[in-house]
Amino acid sequence: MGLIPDDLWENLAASPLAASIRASIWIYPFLETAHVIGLALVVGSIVSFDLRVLGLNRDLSVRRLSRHLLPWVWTGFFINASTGVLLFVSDAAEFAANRALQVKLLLILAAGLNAALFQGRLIRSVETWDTRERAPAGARASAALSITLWLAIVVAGRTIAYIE
Amino acid sequence: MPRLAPPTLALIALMTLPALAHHTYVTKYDASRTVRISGVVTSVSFVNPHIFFSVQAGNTTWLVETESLSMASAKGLTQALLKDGAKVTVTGWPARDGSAQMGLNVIAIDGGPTIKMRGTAR
Repeated sequence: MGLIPDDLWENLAASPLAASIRASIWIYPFLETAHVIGLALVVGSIVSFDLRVLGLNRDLSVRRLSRHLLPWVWTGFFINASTGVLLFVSDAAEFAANRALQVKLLLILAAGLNAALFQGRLIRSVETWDTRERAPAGARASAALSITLWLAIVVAGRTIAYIE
Repeated sequence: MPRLAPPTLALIALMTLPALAHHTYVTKYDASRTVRISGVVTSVSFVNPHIFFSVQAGNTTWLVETESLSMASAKGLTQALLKDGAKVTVTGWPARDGSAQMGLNVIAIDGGPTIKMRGTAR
């Protein structure tokens, strides 16, 4: 992290915003709770969709399921990006140095690239496998990778509290 | 999916192991031992998610970790009680790395209450 000034995280942790998050009885537990709700929306929606692409319940239209779930993925992602940033700020120097958080952010980046590949390319042929037909190998591999990454993201996220 | 399954399971198993084996207390503090220190409170960080304070005992300054603000409130450990200069006896689980740190089990405040903050270093 050579481009980041050495004292950036310390200064962030010393900011009035960080101090008020730490000093409030309610803010921290509220952020943690909202973060879990956002997690349920993101991972629940994504895994449900991926399982369909992998071949479960092929009578369900992939396009309709996608239309139903994608807004909830983005809702959950917005909740977790914002609550995650605030939780990070509250103790920025500690969190920035936390290996589990670093791994988690890299995994989220990987999951994002995988999702972009799926939405940008692999889903283009969906007309031919929207219902009943088996999804192409590329789409299924992407779905399996997606489930793997999101489960690993949950594990890495939970691990943040268990290591220094 | 079959090709991805073994590395996936290995990854999850690897990443889950420390999480299953430890909670933050039991990772950092040795649950099989307790220490008991009497001294003077020298600095208090009354914050979420965990409250920290120091206890000066002779030449050693112990860093003591305890619960969240809401837990402290529920147990009656207030900022008025846990303040600079307060004389306390703290019992807790010592840091595994041998440093002068502990996870708080019980705090007895001179001229005040004795509060059990946590039963186990789970």
